[in-house]
Amino acid sequence: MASAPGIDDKTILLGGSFPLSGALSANGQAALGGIKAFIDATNEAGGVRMSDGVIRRIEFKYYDDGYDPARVVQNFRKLVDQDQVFAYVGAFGTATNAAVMPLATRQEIPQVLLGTGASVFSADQKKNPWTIGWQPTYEQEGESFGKYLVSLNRTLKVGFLGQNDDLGDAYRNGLTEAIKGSRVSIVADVTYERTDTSLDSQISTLAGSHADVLFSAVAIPRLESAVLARMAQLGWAPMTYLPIMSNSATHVIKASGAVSFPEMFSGEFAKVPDNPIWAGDKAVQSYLADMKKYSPEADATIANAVWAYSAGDALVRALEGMKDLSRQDLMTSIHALDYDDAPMLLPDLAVNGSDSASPPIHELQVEKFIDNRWELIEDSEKN
Amino acid sequence: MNARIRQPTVPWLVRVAAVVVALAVLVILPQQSTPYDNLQITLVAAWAVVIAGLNLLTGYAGQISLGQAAFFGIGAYTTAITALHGWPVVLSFALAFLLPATVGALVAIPAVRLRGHALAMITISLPLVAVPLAKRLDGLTGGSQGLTTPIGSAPTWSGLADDQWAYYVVLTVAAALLALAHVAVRGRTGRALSLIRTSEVAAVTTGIPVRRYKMVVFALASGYGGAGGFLYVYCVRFVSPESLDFLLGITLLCSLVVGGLRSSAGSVVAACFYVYVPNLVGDINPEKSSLIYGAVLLLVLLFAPAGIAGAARGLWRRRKLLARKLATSWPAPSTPTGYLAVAGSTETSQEENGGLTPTRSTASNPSSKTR
Repeated sequence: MASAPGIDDKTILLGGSFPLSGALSANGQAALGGIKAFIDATNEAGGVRMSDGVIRRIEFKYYDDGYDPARVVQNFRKLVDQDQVFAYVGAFGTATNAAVMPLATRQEIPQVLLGTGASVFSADQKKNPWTIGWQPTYEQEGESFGKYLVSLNRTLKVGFLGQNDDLGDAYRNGLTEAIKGSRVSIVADVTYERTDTSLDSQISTLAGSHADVLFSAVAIPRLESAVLARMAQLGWAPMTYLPIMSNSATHVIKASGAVSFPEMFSGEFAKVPDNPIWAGDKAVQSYLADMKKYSPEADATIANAVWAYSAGDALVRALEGMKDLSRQDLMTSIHALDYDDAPMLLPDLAVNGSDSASPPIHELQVEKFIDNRWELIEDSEKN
Repeated sequence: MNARIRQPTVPWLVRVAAVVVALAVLVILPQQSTPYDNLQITLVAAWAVVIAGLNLLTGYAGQISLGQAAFFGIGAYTTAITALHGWPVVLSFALAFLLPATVGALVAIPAVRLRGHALAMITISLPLVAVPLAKRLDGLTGGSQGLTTPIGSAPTWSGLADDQWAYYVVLTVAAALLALAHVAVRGRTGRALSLIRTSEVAAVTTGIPVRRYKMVVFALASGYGGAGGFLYVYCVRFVSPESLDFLLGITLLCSLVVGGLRSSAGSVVAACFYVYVPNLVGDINPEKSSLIYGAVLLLVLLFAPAGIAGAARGLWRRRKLLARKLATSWPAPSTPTGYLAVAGSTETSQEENGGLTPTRSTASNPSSKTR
């Protein structure tokens, strides 16, 4: 059986590129730390038993790209041409992965389980058969909350606040799609710029629309804090949705310094390690132990680490599920992933790689902020 | 007189030989090396053009600009967008040069009235505007996901792989642009720019149209930035707002200073520094790459304040002195006493020897003291 580059009788060589310097270095470091922790733990437990009966260790090679597309293209070339990696796994970032995707397609190198919420990596798998994302897209996040609003079966007016770019558009599209033909409608649509320092005027406009719901798709945690502070000032308290990247109980909600809060909702697909509701959870405990042991330099409470850790698990399952040892077979194996016991994934969610227009995780659960912590909505309503 | 103003440099024969050897190596290289190596060299060529533009403006005309990233971005996006719409490559290139040059000329109208730090502050705002603009015009620019573009594929007749084709095209265009820039700053223009750089007042009094010169150089520098953007997209085939981050403008200026201001070779050295050093330090330790990069930057500036090209030129200029130092550090087997005696005997020869001989002769020949 002829095997592809990067696989021999003892090891599988994989590679990735992460922003380990620059503005996004904390997130890049976390994403790298997460996948590395899972891989190292797997190696220590023996390795990966593959279909030919051989147990192999995973060697993970990575480089810093500083979130610079030119450097990520160089890193990809280096990993593929020089280091001869078998696949490009878990790489972090939207623009950086977009720069690599055409190369991966042309050179037929798996570019899989990526740390990005952009839909482009999984949306057209006929055109880019060698690329697939991992976590739910921004559209799917907007959609999840839209569906929740529809399920309330009430007439609701929604005010939308989003970043003035494709990220904001993605949230808006997902939300619009989900509420189409329902009693929920968008009555105000306001945008902000990444460079804005205050969103006071946007919030005043939205408050003036008398919306019942504020979908506050503000991707910058500091600005989301400012939104909450302003709402408290105005005494405006609609149902408020905070997006997954700006929903930290500490860094967003507490940091806002507001004296009163509206009813707050968010979405989540993975367990948040510092949320007290998971304090006794076994998966969270072993995640934190692995992170402490293998990736002490990364901040285990950053969500990217959690997501990358569960991507590491998906990677090991996909490698185990391969029939022969070709790169094509890794893609087939990832598309065949179907399980609901992923570490750190929320109990009601599953991993399924078969949808050719969607990443393997494509749903979120809506959660509500109760007693200073996020609680999954099913649970809180059951109570 | 003219010969004394001109700085003594490396003889032309050595230069020509070096260029010929370098060209021969560069022509053969892509056949032997990996696509990764080819990509890196191609990127060096692209960045050398961007930096050469900055060198015209900052090095020769003395105008500090932190905005080169914006012009690079205009060129890169122009290339990507026109290529996506199926424009011929030559037209893409022309527009990638002319559009930023025009924008540069417009910016220059107010900017040439400013000097030094004020100009730096104005120019730093350009990438700060360009990045949100690139994200916002997502219908045109693909937003934060950037644009992937079908450019730089090798035609079948060439029999080359894509990376080899891009290598030859980019290096050829870059060489032509660098040669043009090299020629542009010789002679009268060079002298005018150097006077503008050292004293604008003196330049005005000698009748040099300072504003016009500054505007033309600003436009040319911006055009070079755009052309470099074209070459970049030609080999990377992708551009996103991250490609023109405002830190890039600062990094480019740092690289230029490291490479060496007012030197054509300096731009190439600067581009090598910009492309290779982050990768090399990434090999040593990916987690600490920017820290090591900063340390390397500091070391170069400490030990070679005129940049790497400047240091190399200085070493060459002082090679005789250095050789003599080396020679005197060894105990000489036979001292040419006759020469010293002659040197110490007349006033003229002392002057010609730059004051070096008298000291030596007094030390080794006590008779001169009693003269």
